[in-house]
Amino acid sequence: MKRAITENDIEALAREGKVVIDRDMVLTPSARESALRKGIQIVYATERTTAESPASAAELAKIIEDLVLKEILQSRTGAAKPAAPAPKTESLPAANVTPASKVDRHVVNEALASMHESDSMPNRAIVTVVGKNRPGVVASISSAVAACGGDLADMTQTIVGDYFSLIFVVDLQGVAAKGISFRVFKEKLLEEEARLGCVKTLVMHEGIFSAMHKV
Amino acid sequence: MLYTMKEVHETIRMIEAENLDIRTVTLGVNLLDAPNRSSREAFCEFVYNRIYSRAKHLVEFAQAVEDKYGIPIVNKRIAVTPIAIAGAALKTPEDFVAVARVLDKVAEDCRVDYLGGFTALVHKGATQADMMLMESIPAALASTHRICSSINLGTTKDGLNLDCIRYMGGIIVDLANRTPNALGCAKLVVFCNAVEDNPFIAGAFHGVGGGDVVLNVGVSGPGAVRAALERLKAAGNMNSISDIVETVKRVSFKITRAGELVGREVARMLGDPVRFGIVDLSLAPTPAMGDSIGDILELMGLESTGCPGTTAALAMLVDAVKKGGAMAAANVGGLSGAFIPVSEDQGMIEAVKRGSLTLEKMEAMTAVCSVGLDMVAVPGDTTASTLSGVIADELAIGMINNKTTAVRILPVPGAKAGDLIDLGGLLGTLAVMPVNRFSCQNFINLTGNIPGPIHSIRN
Repeated sequence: MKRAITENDIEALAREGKVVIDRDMVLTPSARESALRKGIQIVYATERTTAESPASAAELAKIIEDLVLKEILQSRTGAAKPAAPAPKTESLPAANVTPASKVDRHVVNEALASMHESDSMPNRAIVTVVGKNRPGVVASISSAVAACGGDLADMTQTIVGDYFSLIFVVDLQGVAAKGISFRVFKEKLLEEEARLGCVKTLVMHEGIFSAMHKV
Repeated sequence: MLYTMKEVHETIRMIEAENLDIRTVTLGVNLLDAPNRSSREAFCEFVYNRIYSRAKHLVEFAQAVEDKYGIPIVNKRIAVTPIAIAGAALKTPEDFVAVARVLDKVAEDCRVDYLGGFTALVHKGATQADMMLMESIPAALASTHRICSSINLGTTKDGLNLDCIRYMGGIIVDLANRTPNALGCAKLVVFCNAVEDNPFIAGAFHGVGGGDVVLNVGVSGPGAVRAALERLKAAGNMNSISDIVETVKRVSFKITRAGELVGREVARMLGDPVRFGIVDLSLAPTPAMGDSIGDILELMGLESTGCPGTTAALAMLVDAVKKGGAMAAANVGGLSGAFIPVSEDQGMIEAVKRGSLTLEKMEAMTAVCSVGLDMVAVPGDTTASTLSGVIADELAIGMINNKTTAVRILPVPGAKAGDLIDLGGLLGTLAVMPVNRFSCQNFINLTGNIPGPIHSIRN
């Protein structure tokens, strides 16, 4: 099975500030946040440095030519299959593949930025903070929200013994107006969490709660 | 408060503790408009460029959406037009292997987990291209990592193509011998009534009626259903069938809404011409502890999955999932059943080990709901004709009941009934099941098609 990489594993796996996630690993959301928070870079093993560029023409031709034909020739000799037409072995003309696009970075950035005003739904984040109670926790998280331009639309809190659970509903219009993306907003709050050291913070867009609980 | 604390915590608990995830976002890409389809080089080049240009941002955008909503998307996948159709003008089986290699390359470059669509639809008869594609499957799947293949061998309307069923039995044996632990067979599925918008691997392909580029979503959630039923039971409220049905419907509704939200957002970010397709309402288990259909069935009161009552419990479960999900999503499609991939479901593996779940009982279970004999391991000395017989039986269930059924079977070389084989990753652990040892060879060797049933004549 895929191995779940949790918050606790992240630090152990980090080498020189990087964690390589291969195909057999799944990051939990809190692990990803924890990495963000600790400045650990997450690298996907399948992610090649040239991932943005399609295979070059020569490369593609080589795959077809070298690997495919050779292997088929070898496997054919041992296969008890009806005889097929002999594979062609003449070399292939270099395929004409679209050259490495300067990849439409702006397209990506635009799409990422537009995540704010995704649909008709209000643009709000739900910030959940749980942890050991101590003076100033609410103040410091809420001032981090304010610093990004977020407006507290609602909040609720319960305290059980030493522990508390706090939910903020944050209106993100002001955050978007400041040009701060959701991702950066999340990072800022997680930085605050790291500074406090006694709480766990989850920042999720309201959409998921609205979808699951409001009909 | 806009949301109660209970609502907020419920969502977080489902994601963090109960393995709720979006199982897959699958981008369907049309390949029918290749300008020069008879030249292998030109076709490969077209395939690479078309898929790359459509799917290059899929993984990045999906990850951004994961971040935004805090819900993991486990797999990002691509499905393409059945290659036997798009590449119908290719000339040799080797050409198809070459296409598979190029598909593997583009899947790697797009960083997706799997690419489905190395597919032929032969329910009524096979073209030359269909035959070449089937012939190329062992070489193609043994030499690629991310390519999945599916063959549609029957439909309710057209009956079963027994000639191709016989042929595929041999192909499965060949493929099993070429890959360690018959792992290649995990990437090959045969269908009756295959659907065109299935986002799940290994059977995903982009149907010819599916438009240009479509994003389909599959949700998961056996863990969340099980946890909800566990709480119901712990509270002493699991007294009647309707208690169970209502609970499952509610959870299914929430899971499906999350899936639709995520799918629409990823499709929107990919922009024109990508449109959102469907949500597949399937309970898809993982080997993670508790994320199991078998566990849910046992929670309902069965001693061990496979015992009498299993089929009824499963029928009820899947129907409740569909009813809850159908209310939640605007477009429901895909397979929308329960998957019971034996190797990937901890509860099912345990049941096989205990000897309570047999191949025959699984076949019965697939008649009421689930999608088929999925990830079933059988001894390595199982003959091709026996495999064809198992396939024919399973597909006959689909044909007569007007539903999708499938077989993904691994005859593990050298393995005997009772052996356990760890495949690693999401594929889980195989428990090798015994197969009836009597021969069906003379029946399977009959030529021709099994005709469609009388109730398929509906006009």
